[in-house]
Amino acid sequence: MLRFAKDLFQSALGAVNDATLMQALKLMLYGMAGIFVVMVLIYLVILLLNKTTEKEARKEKEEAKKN
Amino acid sequence: MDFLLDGIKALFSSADGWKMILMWVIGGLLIWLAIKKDFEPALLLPMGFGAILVNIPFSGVLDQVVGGEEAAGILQWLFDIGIKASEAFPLLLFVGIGAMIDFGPLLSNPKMLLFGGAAQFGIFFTVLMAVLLGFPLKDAASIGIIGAADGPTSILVSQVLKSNYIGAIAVAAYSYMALVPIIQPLAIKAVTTKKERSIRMPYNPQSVSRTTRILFPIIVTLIAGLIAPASVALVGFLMFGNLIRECGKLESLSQTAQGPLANLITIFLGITISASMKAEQFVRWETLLIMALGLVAFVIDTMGGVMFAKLLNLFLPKGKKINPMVGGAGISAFPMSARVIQKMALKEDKQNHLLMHAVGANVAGQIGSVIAGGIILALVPDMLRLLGA
Repeated sequence: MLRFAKDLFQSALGAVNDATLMQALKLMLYGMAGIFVVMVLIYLVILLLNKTTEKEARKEKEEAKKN
Repeated sequence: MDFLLDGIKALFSSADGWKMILMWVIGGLLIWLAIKKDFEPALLLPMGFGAILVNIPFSGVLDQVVGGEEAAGILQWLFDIGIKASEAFPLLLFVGIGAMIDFGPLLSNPKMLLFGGAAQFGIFFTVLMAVLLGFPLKDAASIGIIGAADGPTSILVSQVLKSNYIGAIAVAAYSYMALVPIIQPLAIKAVTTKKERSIRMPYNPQSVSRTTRILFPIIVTLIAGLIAPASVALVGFLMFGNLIRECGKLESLSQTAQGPLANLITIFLGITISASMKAEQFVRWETLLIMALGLVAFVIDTMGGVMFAKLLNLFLPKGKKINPMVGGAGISAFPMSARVIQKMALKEDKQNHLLMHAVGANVAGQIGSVIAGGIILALVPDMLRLLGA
């Protein structure tokens, strides 16, 4: 697959370096995994915050309605 | 009286003279796009004018030796201080952007965070494409970050990685952001059916307390900082601006950050970036490749978000399905992308209002893009060391 991609592109600015290609794939894997880890953690934190401040949010909503 | 003709002679006798004239045309084109087509005018107009300023022979806005004397240039100074030394301009702009963003739609519907992650796929796909086209990794990573759909992040990452193409990357990032209303509908239609685009999503937002709104920017900074410390500057300044907005005690500062601060930085950011648009750096084949790769980044980002929503739909029960177009709003181009999705949804079904879902995904994209920038800044320098670059 990698060989095919290299042959297909071979190459606008010079030969494709195998090691650079592997690092780019690694960056894709780690990068997307890292983003999802952070997003899931933030998601869990929001759930926790919303749960623990549920009463406060309801009270604020009622006060806003009165005003 | 020969001195009166020095500039003209230099233009026509130098091998790069035609490139300078071409840069005037490119500068004129950017100004035209800003004024006539309303393409990100706040950035493209200063960049266009700056492109003309720096491509006048012996231009006084750049540091250079004139008649044996070294002369300092204001644009060179602004670039060295505002971008090169500490990336101050893009970061300060983030304070303003943070103060502008209402995270409420995301806090009341946090599932949308997942789309803010998925729609960053175009960044990493484009890095791979750039490497396959023969760009070195530091330039490939800087080109990929055009897919963050976030000008300041693109400028900051390409500057920290010392890319040779910062000018072209900034032009591509801002141009494609302006083209979101054209690019996204085409990309979304290519990977969705009419039936999928017509899926309705009822909006039942959860109430969000003031405590949550205040704690959110602090906690996000801590999480992002602990996992990707290189993202602290980006995330921290964005969230600092948001904390000023949400604390409820600094209304005047919040207004200043959203208005005068953001405007001042925008004026100088655009014209300062043009210091990197000198003809010898800009007029080359690589610039065209970067423009093409930037387009790929935006298209794959959008498709990444949409396909992720379609993947989730495989596991969701009927009635809880997500309209895959909402995934496409996970790119950071705020609020254009959310508006595009709303417009497309109404086109398919006049009663289908997706705006608030799309806004949630769109602000999640803001967070996703700065985290992507931080992760690239954390990983790429080590990879470059491994490669001996």
